[in-house]
Amino acid sequence: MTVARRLVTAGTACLFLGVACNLGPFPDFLERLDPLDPVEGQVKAWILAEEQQTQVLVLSESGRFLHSVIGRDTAVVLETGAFSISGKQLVMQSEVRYEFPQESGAVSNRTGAQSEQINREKRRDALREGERLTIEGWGTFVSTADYVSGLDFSTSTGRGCLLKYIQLSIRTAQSRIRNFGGGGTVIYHNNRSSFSGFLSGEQTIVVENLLSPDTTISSRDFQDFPEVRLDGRIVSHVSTAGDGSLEDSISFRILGATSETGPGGGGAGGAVSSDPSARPVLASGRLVYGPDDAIQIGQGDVVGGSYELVLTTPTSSGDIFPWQFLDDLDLRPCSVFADQ
Amino acid sequence: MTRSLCIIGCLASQLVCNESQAFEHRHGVGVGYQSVHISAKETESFHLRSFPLSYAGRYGGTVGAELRVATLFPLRARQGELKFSPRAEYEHAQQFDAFLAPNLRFSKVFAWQLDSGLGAHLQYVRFRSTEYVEWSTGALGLGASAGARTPLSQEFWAGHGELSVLGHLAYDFIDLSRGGHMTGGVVAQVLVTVGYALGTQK
Repeated sequence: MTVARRLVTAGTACLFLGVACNLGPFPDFLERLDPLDPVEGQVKAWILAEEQQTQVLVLSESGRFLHSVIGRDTAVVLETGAFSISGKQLVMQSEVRYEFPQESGAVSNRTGAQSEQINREKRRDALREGERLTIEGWGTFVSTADYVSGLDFSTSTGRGCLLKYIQLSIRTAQSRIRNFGGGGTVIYHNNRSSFSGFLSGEQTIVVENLLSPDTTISSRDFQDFPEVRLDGRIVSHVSTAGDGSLEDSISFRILGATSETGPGGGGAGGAVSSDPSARPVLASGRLVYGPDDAIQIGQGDVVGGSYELVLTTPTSSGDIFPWQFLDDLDLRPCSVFADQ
Repeated sequence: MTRSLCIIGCLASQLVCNESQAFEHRHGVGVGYQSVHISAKETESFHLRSFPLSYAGRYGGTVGAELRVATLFPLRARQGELKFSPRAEYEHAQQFDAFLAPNLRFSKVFAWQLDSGLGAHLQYVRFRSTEYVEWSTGALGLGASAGARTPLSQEFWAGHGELSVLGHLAYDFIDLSRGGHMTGGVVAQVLVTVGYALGTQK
């Protein structure tokens, strides 16, 4: 399922631009598509792989956070807002909550990604020890820089873990596309809409040809996580029954940390530079969805085909992962988590 | 009780047009004013005021059917304290309204031919832009219509020209687009049309 499933929602898009389908709750008049504004300054990100989910917490020097909880079944709950350090406590003031559920049934009846403005404060004891951040009630995160540097790109297992990490970023980005995954994707029919990355760049979505929908999601210098930079596009071609295939590819660059370190110390907001030009490229390549051995879609879900991971840096390689590989986002066997 | 009903029925039958016409068809186009109030479950209600450009037709004799379809130009929108012009804020603002009803023609009052009906109402609104969440709704309901028509002078279309004042009031309760998130919609439309009427007197 995952990416493709979300892409084909327009495949069962309702006729007549939304009549007789479920577009979800009414938005307010003049409600912004995505209230998230890109952050400025340095950032530091943390990751925690658990049995049922993986959490990624991105903290910016400017006091903004992005907290993405991606279930193994690829469902996403994302919160953004402001944070501060108060004594030993990490105080997170959530402002927007995004939810991208894993749904079944007819695509036109699925709700898809939704967001709501909230005002909720959470206080948790937090302790940073180098590249570890322990947050009471959640567990001990490792820095995403550590996670990435712990991947062995020379093995297919390491490259598979890289792919799953990239997929966390893709899923987090998709959760911000209002109605994505539901019949309400029809709102993007001939209406290209853009969404900013938490750190930089943008992704856009547009649906064309309602009776044989083509949905294109493009990324340009897109960064939600400090180590993952995405470009390229994914295109789905499906029938109104939601049957079809994916094509095109997403290019990625995995950025390493620089020698420049931020405030560090005991605070959770210790940061590294987010300026991509100042950072080494640890890995780069493409995630190919088609047309060769393309990901196949049946009634809105991925039912066949393979993902091709083409690595160009640090070494050239090509791996084929069966379509089921990204249905289970379990990162516990990966990188530093495998050693724990 | 039975007697009262009989009296009402008799009065009504007196009002119904007793001019025998096998068939007529009237066509008109016009402009007017429409007000829409939509209530939703999760948020404050929405109000729209629009300028309809409408076609209105009637087919039949004493008993007939009427059809009104309009494309509308939203003028003002309001939700709570928020007031704005949809066409200024959204890159595309589309609105459509249709009313189809069996229709009964009544006796003339002075030079005005009156008719009225009960039927189905459909509305569709879509505001979209690249910045805001698309706001759209499709709804179906029931409504009542009324119309008054008077002939224009003989110079207009060989005496077939007529001026009409039409209106309908509808309550939309079937949410076609949001899976039940709409709780109801009230639509009031008034039109002034100019058209022609062709009929066959028996």
